[in-house]
Amino acid sequence: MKLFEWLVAIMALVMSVVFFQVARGFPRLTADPGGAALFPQVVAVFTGTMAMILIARLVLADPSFRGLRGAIAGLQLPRGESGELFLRSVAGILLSIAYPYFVIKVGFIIASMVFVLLLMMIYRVSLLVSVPFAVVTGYAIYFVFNQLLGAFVPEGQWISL
Amino acid sequence: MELISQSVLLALGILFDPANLVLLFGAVLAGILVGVIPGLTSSVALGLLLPLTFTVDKDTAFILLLGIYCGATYGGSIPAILMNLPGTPTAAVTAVEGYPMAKRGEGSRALGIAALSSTTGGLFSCIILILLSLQLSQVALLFAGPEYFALCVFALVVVVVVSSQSIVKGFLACGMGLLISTIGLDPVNPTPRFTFGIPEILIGIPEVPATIGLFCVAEAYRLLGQPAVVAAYLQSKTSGFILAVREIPKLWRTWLRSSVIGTFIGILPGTGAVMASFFAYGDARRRSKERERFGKGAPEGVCASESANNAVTGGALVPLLTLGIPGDVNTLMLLGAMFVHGLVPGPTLFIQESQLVFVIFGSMILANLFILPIGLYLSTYIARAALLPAQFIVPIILILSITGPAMGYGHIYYFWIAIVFGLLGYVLSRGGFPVLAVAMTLILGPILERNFRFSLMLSDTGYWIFLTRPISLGLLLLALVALVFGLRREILARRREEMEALNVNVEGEK
Repeated sequence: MKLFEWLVAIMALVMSVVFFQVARGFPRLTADPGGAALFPQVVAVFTGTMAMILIARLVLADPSFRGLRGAIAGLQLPRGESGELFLRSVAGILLSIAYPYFVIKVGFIIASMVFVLLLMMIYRVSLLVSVPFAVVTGYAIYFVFNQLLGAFVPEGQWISL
Repeated sequence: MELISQSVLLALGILFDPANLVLLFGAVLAGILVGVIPGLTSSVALGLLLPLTFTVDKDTAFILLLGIYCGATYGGSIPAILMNLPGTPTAAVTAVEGYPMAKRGEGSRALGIAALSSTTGGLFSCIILILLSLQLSQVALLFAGPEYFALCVFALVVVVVVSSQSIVKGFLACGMGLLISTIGLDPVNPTPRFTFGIPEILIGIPEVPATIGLFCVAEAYRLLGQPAVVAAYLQSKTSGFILAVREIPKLWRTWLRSSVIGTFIGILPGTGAVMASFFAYGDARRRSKERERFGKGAPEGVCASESANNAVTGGALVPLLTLGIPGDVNTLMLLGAMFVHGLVPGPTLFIQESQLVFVIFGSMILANLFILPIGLYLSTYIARAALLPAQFIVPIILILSITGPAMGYGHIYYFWIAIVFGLLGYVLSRGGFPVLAVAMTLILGPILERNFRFSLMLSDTGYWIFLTRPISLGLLLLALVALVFGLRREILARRREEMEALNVNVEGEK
């Protein structure tokens, strides 16, 4: 998919420039030719070159290319059924990004139950099924981590208060 | 010799402990169940189980992990035969022949052949693993900095060439992984690098949560965007054992050839069970006198595919145990488990942890043997797991893969590592970039850099040191050959595509 190819190419190019520039400030010992900067700089040049080759390929493959802004404007998100499925992935990703924050705030059990419930709502599962499933799953995973494996499970800042 | 016999006896004691036997049987069964569920591969199963093994001793951890590994590799064949629904990508070839067999009422026969072939393929690869790794571990003693550097370069080039259709995309993924691997303390001088003022990053990017993120979290994101699976289930009543045994005189050559193919493909980095399955199937078809039966339910096809994909399990452990080089995602996970338990693969493992090495060998043999009764007598029941809706599976995968590594290490920072790498894995796979290359470089990056810089520090000849030592030169030349092969393949594929497009245009004008 073109959107993701552009995304990775630009991300790799930015990473290469940042890593190369930051590595210039690393200390160098006489006994260590190149020092801490040598390897990251070599890899940054290599990765940056590959990213530019990929960008060039993407541009050449598109005869109607009119600059980066035009290319970004021309990128289309999936529509119809595949668009809905793509949005489901995006919603799941956003939920998982919020999940650790809620684990810190309300603790592992409640955050996990809510997380499972919301994920099942994305799938449009009825509340009659999703609520018991979320409760059982959240508690079962807590039981495995805390009781069986003896791992520390966050209780939550709000609850500890 | 005395050390070896002592270690073998100790390992046997551990393996035949009733609790460990039950654990191994349970792990194989759980692995098969996971393999049956479409979208869940052996690497996802290993990734989900890995954090749960942090608190157990290393012998038990490897008994569990290897049971899951062997079971999940076989598991995909069951829904492939009964529902035309390969549970794992490796079973795609099995479906081509197995499902037509099931449709004409030979499901039990196909299941029997699959179970017997998986067991024999797995056992063959275990024998090669034992013979080869004991020898290779001695050869590995000849390796110093330049040789390890050249070996890493060779492994990465092969992974890029094999796992990606585009060399540029492969090297781009590889470069990103190498850059990420430099984050944290410098492996030679303890200088912080690329930490951007975040104290947690000082320890670097931990391999286990990152790998779990790249494969398990990303897989869950991908499953979220998949439509619901609809499959017809062909009931199979009998076990198929007698039917499969009757096939032995006809199929033993295919069994043997496919096991050899699978084992040696497994040894090569970046290849894996899918390629082994395709190669073995192609070989069986080419050698068959009745080629027209292939695609319509040929037992040789099921036999070739299943022998080869299970034979990969033992082959892939050879470079991992002897050289510390993981060949595929599964061995990457196993390497992560080794790091967590403070183990360093390579020649020293065979000296300092010889008992564990034999526990690994024994677990592989027993796990493959357990596949046979489970596959023959329980597969028709296990197959129902393939119909489990994704809405129940995805939340569990997501929670376990995000929180599992953090629970093991005891810090919420690992939540973020799993999520960030899950996102990276999702974006890379949607763009057609090889995720395996990124995961490999996260593990091999620090080894590559350390050996590169140590070689330069010890050498009077500078960069020439890599070309003046025979093993190092040989490995670099092999990497060059692999690269030329990959480039040639890509150029030919592009030309073919252009020709096809041209032909379509000409036909359109006519």
